[in-house]
Amino acid sequence: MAHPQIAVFARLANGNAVTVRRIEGQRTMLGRTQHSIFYDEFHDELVVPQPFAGAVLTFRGDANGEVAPIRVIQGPKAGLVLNDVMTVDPVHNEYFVPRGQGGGMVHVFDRIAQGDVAPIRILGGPNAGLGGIPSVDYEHNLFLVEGRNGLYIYDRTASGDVQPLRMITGGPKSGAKSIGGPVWIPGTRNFVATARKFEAREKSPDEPLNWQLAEDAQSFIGVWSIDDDGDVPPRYTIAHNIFKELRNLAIDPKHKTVMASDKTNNDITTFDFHEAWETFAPEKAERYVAPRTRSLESPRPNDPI
Amino acid sequence: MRSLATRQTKIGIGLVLACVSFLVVSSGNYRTWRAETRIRTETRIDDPSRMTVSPMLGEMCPVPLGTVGEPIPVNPVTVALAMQQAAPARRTAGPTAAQKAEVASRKPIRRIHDEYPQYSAVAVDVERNEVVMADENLFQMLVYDRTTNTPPSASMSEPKRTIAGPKTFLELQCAIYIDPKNGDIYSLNNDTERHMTVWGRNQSGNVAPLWKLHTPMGSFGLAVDEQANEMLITGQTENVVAAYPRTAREEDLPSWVLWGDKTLLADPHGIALDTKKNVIFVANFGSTASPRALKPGENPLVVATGRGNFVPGSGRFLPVSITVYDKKARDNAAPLRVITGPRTQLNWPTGLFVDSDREELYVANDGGNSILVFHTDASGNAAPIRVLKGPKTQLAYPSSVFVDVKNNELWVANFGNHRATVYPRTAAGDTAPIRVIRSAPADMPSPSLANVRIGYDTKREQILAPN
Repeated sequence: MAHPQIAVFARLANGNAVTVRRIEGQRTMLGRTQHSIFYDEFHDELVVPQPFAGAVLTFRGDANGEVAPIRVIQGPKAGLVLNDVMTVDPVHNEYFVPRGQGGGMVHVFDRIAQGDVAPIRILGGPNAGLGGIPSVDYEHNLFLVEGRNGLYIYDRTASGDVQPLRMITGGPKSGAKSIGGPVWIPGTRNFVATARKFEAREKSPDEPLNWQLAEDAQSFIGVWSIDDDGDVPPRYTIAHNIFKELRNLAIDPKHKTVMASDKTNNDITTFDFHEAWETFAPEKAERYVAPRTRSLESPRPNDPI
Repeated sequence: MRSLATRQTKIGIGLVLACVSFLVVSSGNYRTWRAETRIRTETRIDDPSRMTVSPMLGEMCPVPLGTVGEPIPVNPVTVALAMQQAAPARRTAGPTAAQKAEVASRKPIRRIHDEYPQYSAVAVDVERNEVVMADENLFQMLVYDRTTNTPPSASMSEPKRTIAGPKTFLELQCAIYIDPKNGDIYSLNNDTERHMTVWGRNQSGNVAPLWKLHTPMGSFGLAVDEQANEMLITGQTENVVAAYPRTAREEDLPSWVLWGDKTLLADPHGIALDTKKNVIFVANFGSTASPRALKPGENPLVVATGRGNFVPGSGRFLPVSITVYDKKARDNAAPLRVITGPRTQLNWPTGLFVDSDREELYVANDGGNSILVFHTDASGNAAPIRVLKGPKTQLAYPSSVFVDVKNNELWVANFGNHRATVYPRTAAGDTAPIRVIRSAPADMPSPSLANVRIGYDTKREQILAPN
């Protein structure tokens, strides 16, 4: 990738948009592969992982140009490696960082930790296979993260190799699979996530690793309740036959829109999805266990970058 | 029915007004709370257990603010937002099939996307008078006449040939080599589509490459040793230089690697060979981590070019540098010398090119919007012997550099402004290009997206997009 950066656009940016600012250059300590970014509105900070250096970088919310981060977590005690995603609990002042390199664990740090600090707790283990971009529901004390058998919902303070409270597995009943990248919606009991149609085909070894056609990818965005469990369908879905390599989501609570990034389309799309802010009755269904086949999709929660 | 509905509406409005009034009254307290929280956060006395919501009203109305020890609201911002949506949000029966279908068919209301090619790499076919550009925005290879010059009044220049489409395996290409013998084009992908693809000079359209090679994760730089018949490829993710025989295909392993802490390879990007002095130059952004120890029986070539073989917690930042190796260096060999320090002006050095005739090393200095030229013997905190930089140069995120020694020209691919710029070989200072190949209207903004992710700044109402 030619140019690492954090490009910042106005909410209504469209097409060949002008950036309102960019964070870039040597002093920023950025590299490529920042696969998530979190804006902490309580403390007006931007937080990104830096996987090549096993670090977490925190910038001021209005950072612009070649500026250094105000805090860096990095070192043997921190124990990160190829950690390309993370999220923040701005209320309880914690960073949740999947360790990376297929470790299947999430390291939780004090928000204002600096330097080589140990996590205050570690969630998961080799069997859980936790990874992917997580999300914290700080109002209902939950932690949402991709696991080996679906999207796992833990108590926010869960520690060790414990079972999740609930698990949204996808499966034939819901018609969804590969549910990931959850984003909890503040003020609701809902979250949006990326998914693929259950019947969508997998890749063969002789074709590109990334989907080239939307009709092959069959990706979409869905909204579920944090109280759902099992092979529960999303209440609404949106953005079918658009994405090729859907990467991650962000929400604009004020305007009730959902934004999505797509690697192969190389774009950022915004959808009116005000239905995701509705209130849903929780649903429970039998959990579906997918066959354990090595997927060629990328990135997968258990894979390093 | 109508009067009942009207009454319900009035009650609903009344409830909303009551909550809004509460918020107005408490807004002063809210501001105080935000300020207090900020202070408490910095002093670490804001106990999360003190944050709660009203069990009666759920997230609808916050508990009144109080003194230390009393409950305080979780997030007044989101509570206020919940208030705004209070009236229409309730739906216990679930949406109907028609409602679901309507939402499912919805198209995006906005799309940030650069519809024009963005040049990330450049190489000149001096024998055939063509120039080849990699487009990392739309994942295509573009071939132009070498002397193409986009007039200022023109929207853009169209390429002679384009290679693009699902069959090509092209993605996030960052380096090009052209075989002088037959004009074959070697293109290196950078990310998970980890291939080097090779194209016949007359291929175009959505076609499969002549052949391809599986490369290290995050492959970025490509240099070909035509005497030794070897291809040298840098791997950003694994901090490796991997050398493959020219005959390598598909899953073939490299014949040797540079890999390990002593190499000082750190997020390596461009690579260049000096075949007269027999040295290898590698540009390093500075991020690195230590490889794990080999297990008994493991092939180091497999581990070094694999994916994710680091010691957890070993990540660190090294100074930005250009490391210089003996061409015979192997495995965990230390560099002969390192170009690093503030006088070098290095700032995300990306593409490299060695002009052996003039004993000069060219650096596409992405972060500095400049081209730096060092003597090939430079070492330590050496200043460049020439710097090309300034508004007249039209340099913007220069990512690749090529010296056409036959025509005495310096080519630069700029990822930040839809331009490849051409200068006299020894251009310096704020020098305007002698030619420009432009792929978009002159004033077209360039988002410069690549493998982008997103977040949202709720305070400033801005979209955050890291590459």
